[in-house]
Amino acid sequence: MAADITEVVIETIREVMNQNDLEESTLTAETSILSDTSLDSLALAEVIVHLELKTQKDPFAGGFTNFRTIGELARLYEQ
Amino acid sequence: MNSERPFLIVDNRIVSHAEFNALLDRYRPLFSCHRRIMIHSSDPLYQAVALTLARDLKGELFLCHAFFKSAQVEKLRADHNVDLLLQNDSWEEPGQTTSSADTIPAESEGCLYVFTSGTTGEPKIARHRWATIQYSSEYVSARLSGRTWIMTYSATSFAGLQVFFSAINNDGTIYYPPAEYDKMAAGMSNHGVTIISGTPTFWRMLISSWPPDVPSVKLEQATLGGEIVDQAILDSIESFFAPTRLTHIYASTEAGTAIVVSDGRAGFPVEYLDRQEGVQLQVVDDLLQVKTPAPMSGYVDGRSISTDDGWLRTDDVVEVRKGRVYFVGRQDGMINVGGLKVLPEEVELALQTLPQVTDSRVFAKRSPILGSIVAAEIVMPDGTKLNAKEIKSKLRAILADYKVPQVFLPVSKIEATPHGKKSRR
Repeated sequence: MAADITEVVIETIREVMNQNDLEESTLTAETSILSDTSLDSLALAEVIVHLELKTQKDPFAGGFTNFRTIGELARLYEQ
Repeated sequence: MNSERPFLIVDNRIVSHAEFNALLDRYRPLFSCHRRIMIHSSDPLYQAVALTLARDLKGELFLCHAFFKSAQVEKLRADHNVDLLLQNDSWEEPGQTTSSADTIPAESEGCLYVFTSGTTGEPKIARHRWATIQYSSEYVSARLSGRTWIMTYSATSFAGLQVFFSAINNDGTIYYPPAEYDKMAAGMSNHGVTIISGTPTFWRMLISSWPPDVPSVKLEQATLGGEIVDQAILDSIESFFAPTRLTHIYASTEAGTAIVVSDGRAGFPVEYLDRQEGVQLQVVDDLLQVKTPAPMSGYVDGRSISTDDGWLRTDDVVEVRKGRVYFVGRQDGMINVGGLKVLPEEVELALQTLPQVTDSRVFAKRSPILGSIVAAEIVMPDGTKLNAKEIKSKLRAILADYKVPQVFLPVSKIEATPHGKKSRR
C-alpha cells in the first residue's frame, strides 16, 4: 500500500513538472521535494491539490503537517 | 398606447395592455391606502402591477427577490414597518383595505427599495427615488420605441428594473423567457425580440447553446453589463446577432448607470476621466470612483458609500492601457496566493481569449502550502478534450506564473447567481 501511494506521489510530481515545463529528474521515496527537484512552492501546492483530487484525502485539513521527502509526503496519505 | 401588441409575455402566457390595465384598476384601491408595501412574488405580472401602481401613486415599495426565503421576508417586513406584504397567494383578496398607516401624504414623492445582488455577501437595500430609478429609460433612443425586450436579469434587480422601465416607458413589450437557453432562443425568435440586455455570462451561454434549427435574430440593440466585458464576447455578439448598436454599460444599484460605451471595443476611452459634468469618473489607488446624476438616495439603514464630496467609491479595480481604461476585477474578490494577489476576473479574461475555452469561472482553492491557489472551472466547445499543459503554456504568455490556475475542472456550464453573474463562492 505504502509503495502504491509513493508511486502516485511520484506520478503526480511528474505530471506537474510536465505541465509546467519544469526540468525532470530522478524521483524516489528519499528525494527531498524542494531541494532535490525543480519544484517550487507554487508547483508543490499544485501537487498537493492533485493528490487531494486523486486520493479524495486531505491530510492537511487540520493544519499544515511537515514533510520533506516524497516518502514522508506519501505517508500522510496512508491513513 | 398600442393595445394590439402584448404588454408582457411570460413564458407562453400573453398579457395584453387591456388585461394589465384591468389588474391595475383592481389593485389601485389596495395600493392607495397603504404607504409601505412589500412584494415577494415570483410572478413578473404581479411585480409589474406593484411597480406600476407604487410608482403612479408615489408609494414606498420594497421589491424582494423571488429567491428570498419566507422567514427572511417576514423579518424584513417587521424590521422596516411594512404596512402590506403581498406574496404570490395573497393577491387573490384585493378587499383587504384596512391599514394602520395613514394614506400616502400628497407631498411624498415615494421611493423604491432595491435589494442589491449580494454577489459577495448579504444583500443590502438601496433606496431610489422613482425619478432616479427611471432615469435611463428617458434616454432610450426613439428608434427603439414599441419594440420587444427580453428580461434576462432577475426582474427585481437594479439591472432588471432598468430593462422594465426602459421597455414600459417606451411603449415596449417585455418577454420573460423560460430558464432553458434553447427554449429561450426559440421564444426570442417567435416573439420578435430585437432588444437584449444581459451579462457577459448570459450572452456566452446564449450563443453557445443556440439551437442550429432556430434562425438567429437580427437585433436592434444588444447591451452587456453587470460583469467585465471582454473583446471576445463583443466580437461574438457582433458576428452572431449583427446588432444595429452594441453597447456595454457600467452601472450599479448604488451609482445608477455611469458608463455607456458603443464603439464595439472593451473598456472605455481614457477621456471619460476628464469629464466635468454629467457622470464624472476618477481613479484613486487603482479603484474607480463615480459621481452620477441618478445615484440611490442612500442605503435603507442610512449608511452611505459616498465620500463627503459626493464621489461614490467602488470596489472595481481598473488599469489604463493605450488610451483606454479597462476593468480588471473586484477588490473584494481577490485571491491571495502566498501573499500575491490575483483577481479572478483577470484570469477569466485571459482564459476566454483561448479558442478551447467557451466560458470559465476562477475561484480560490484552499492550499496548505500557499493559503490559496487558483482553480478554474472551464466550459469547452463540444468534443474538446482538456489539455491542461497547452492551456497553461498559453496562459503563461499572458499572465504572471502565480496567476495561472493550478487546477482545471471541466464543467458543462458555469453556475450563475439569480442575477446572471458568476458565483464567487
